Amino acid sequence: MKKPKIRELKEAVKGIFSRPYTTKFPYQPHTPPPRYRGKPEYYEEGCVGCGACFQVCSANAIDMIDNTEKGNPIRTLIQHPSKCIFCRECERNCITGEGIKLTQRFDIAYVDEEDVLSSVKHKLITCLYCGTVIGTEKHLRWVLKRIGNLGFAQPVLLSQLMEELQVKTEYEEKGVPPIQRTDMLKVVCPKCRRIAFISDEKKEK
Amino acid sequence: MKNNKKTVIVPIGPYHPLLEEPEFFALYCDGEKIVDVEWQAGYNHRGIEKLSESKHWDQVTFLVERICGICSTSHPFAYCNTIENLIGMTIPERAKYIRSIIGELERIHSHLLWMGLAGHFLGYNTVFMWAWKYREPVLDLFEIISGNRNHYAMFKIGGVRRNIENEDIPKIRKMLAEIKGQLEMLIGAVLDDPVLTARLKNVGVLTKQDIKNFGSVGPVARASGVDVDVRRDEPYAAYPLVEWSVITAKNGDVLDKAVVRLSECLEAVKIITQCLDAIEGKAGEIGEEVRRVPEGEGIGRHEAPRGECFHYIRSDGANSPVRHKIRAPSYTNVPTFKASCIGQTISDVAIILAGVDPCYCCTERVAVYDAGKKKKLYDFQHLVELSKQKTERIRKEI
Ligand code: SF4
Ligand code: SF4
Repeated sequence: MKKPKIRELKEAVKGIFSRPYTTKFPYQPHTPPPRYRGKPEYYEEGCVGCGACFQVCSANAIDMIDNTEKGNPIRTLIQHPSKCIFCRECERNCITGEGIKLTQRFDIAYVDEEDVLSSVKHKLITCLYCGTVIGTEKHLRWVLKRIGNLGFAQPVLLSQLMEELQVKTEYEEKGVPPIQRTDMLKVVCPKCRRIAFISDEKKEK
Repeated sequence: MKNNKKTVIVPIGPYHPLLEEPEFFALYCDGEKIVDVEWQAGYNHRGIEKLSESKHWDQVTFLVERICGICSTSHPFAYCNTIENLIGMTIPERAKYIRSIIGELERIHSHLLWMGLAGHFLGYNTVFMWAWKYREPVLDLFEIISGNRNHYAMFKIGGVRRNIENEDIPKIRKMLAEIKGQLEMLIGAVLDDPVLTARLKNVGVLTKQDIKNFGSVGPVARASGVDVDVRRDEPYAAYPLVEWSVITAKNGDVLDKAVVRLSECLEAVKIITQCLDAIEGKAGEIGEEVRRVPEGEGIGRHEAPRGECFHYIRSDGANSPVRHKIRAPSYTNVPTFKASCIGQTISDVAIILAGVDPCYCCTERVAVYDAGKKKKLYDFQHLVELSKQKTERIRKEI
């Protein structure tokens, strides 16, 4: 039998006197490195409910459910860790950068999936006539804030702004019939012409 | 192969959920000697190419990353090369270096994994334990750099997704130096060992002509003296920017395959060190935003740990590929069994099959059947057992 060399002996001796390579988990907590890609979590304050994360997810791990029942339309975003591949694309593509973030949590085995799901709910704005989803309230207001004065050119955004500022139209306040698009052919000042453009869609109220 | 009375068929495979390319082997044996091998592939079709046609460009990187768990960066590497070839773009310098670092780290961990398994099949569990122990810090490095031990999600069309931060580099260097020391120890221990040499020398020889006939690539080809390496022959990423050499050997037996693989690990350390030198202390873009992939065709290659990995893409200018063709290296390496196994004994089969480094778990289902009686003679456990017994025998003789 051939004798081992010093090199191997050294390694073997080192092996005898060193601790096991494995860690004591679960008896001792494990701290992953700072960049560890763990379970994604939604953050209610940061998320505006745009659905970008749902669209970029390559593993279809995010569900976006729009419940447009009369009276209280709600958008729910649900992240399923069991389908997630932890690619961090949702975080990278989040329009606010704060809505969904990968955490350090790695223990995502579950008995009841509810324990590991992360979700947010948002109020939806739908078309007054046909009920088509336009966007979440928070998203529209977020867009409005970003584009500043340009928002005045967009009736949906403008109506959001008015709601936020609690501004009421004359019609809503006094019951005076609103100026309408057909009124544009009458003699009107530029200000009223603009109003005619914008408030036209409220005419059926 | 005509079955005569004496021939015994050993079927291996085909299904194993852990294998990237499930395959089926039938070994025809005359006593201990193998007289013919048949192999079939194409089981467990996952439809990755078709699936890729339903994902958009960026998502495909994550899909192809999941073709293989061990060389999980090879496919995104080749895929990104493909798309960049299609667009005709070059990526920022820093991204090139980071790509090469990831590619080479993966080579180290894949080759160490192979060495460990080879040791295990030979009944040399110390080699198995040591190789896998030293592989562990490589995976830790991956976790520090990319956030995951496997499936690093580092690649993106036009660059990389994550930077290697300058403040992390000293730590990476320190770990790399340790890994290098351990690698040298392991390589010395394996290659000096008379038992391993006796066991692997002239076993499963593939000649230069065999390699050319089967079109084999990677360490399998290089071990037989065929000097092919995509990294040098068709430079990409940072490979033309650093000093390194292609390792080749002459004999084409399993020992040479081990020599090539282990020496490649040291080359990989060399490449990584130079790449780290190049990016340390510097700032720089790590990726360009690619908004649109134009109409056209592209090909891309990457020297994966097992050999050349090839991707082909056709685009019609829309959001996802029209056609995506992938060829992984094992596809050309596995058929070489037809040349390497014939004339060998059953006890050598386990290591010859492992020598090519297919994802070996498939052979868990090996069984030796007597053609006449349809009686099970050996299963894979027995083959490994036979292999271990032979090692033991040689150990005593030396
Ligand atoms: S980390 Fe990736 S897979 Fe997981 S939810 Fe985000 S985008 Fe989807
Ligand atoms: S704000 Fe971010 S987290 Fe919320 S829905 Fe949009 S992309 Fe997703």
